[in-house]
Amino acid sequence: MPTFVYMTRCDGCGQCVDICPSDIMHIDKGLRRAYNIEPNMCWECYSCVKACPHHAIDVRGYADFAPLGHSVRVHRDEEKGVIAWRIKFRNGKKDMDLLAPITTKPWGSGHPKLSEAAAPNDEVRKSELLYNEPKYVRMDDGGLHTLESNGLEIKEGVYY
Amino acid sequence: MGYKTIIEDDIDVLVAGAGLGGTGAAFEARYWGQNKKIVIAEKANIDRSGAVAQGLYAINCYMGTRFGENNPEDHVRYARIDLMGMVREDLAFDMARHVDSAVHQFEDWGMPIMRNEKTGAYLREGRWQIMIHGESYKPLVAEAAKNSADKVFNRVCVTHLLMDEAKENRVAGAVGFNVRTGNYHDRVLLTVL
Repeated sequence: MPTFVYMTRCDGCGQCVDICPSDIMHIDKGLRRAYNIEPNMCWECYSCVKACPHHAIDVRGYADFAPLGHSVRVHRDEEKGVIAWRIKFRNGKKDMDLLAPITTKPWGSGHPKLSEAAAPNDEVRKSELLYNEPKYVRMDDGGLHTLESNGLEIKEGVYY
Repeated sequence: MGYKTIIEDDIDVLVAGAGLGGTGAAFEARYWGQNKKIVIAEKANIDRSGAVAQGLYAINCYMGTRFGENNPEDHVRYARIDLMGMVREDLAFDMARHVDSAVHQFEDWGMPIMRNEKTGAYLREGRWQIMIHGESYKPLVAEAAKNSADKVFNRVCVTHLLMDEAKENRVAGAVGFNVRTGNYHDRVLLTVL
């Protein structure tokens, strides 16, 4: 079921427009608020819900398990490295909180700078290895598998 | 309404479509071509695009050779039976022998992967699946791609590849358009691989 926007919370900043994979979150030129231009093309991927700094976007649930009136709130925090979900039922009494990590390191700090890494030499270029291999295949415990090392050969046709 | 034509020249590696595969390819390309010009064209925003846009709470293919679980040929055997023989076994084997190193790198980048507290092995939910906290799977890999690429064109959909006149069956460039403005993007690709 598609996203919808709480018009009173939206300030038209356009974060949802930037992120939507379907390109269906647009800004209404008259109201200067975001809205879903094509609800039946919505993936329910929650990208816009997470991107919205004002928590102005929600997603309608399917009527069979989530009657109208519920809401699924989400707060994604790159600095703290967590995502928090809160499911509110329509009777207002049940309220489920879920917390999950999104990263184990300060955001963006775990990526190697490849432009500064040691360049591959000719021997590596001619090998069958990818970046960080063979170390990362088995973490220093043996090299890359080959058909030969595994005692295999390619056979033609379908066989079992 | 007029459309602008934007030309990006002298590209060495053009990634056409940057889902999880394209963003990963841009990262790897920087290692093999450190001084090359790498450009990404993606029809959505690479932070949230492709099948993993909304996150994914499992990695569905991990051998676990490091933990003594499966070897690449076991996966080829599984794929062969699963697809009733209709499988390129050489490609399946090649994918299977490299996939573990990709997963180990994701963990390095900050992907939370659940582990068995006693053995230290990744927790599994199936023979090939491991369990992760993957809400930010795509942003994490997109971050690596953004560090690696010289330029990222979001909202540009590549529609046609241009063939090289000088050499038969070689792609020399690609054209696409901006899905928002309709601006025509023309770019030249010089193949290095």
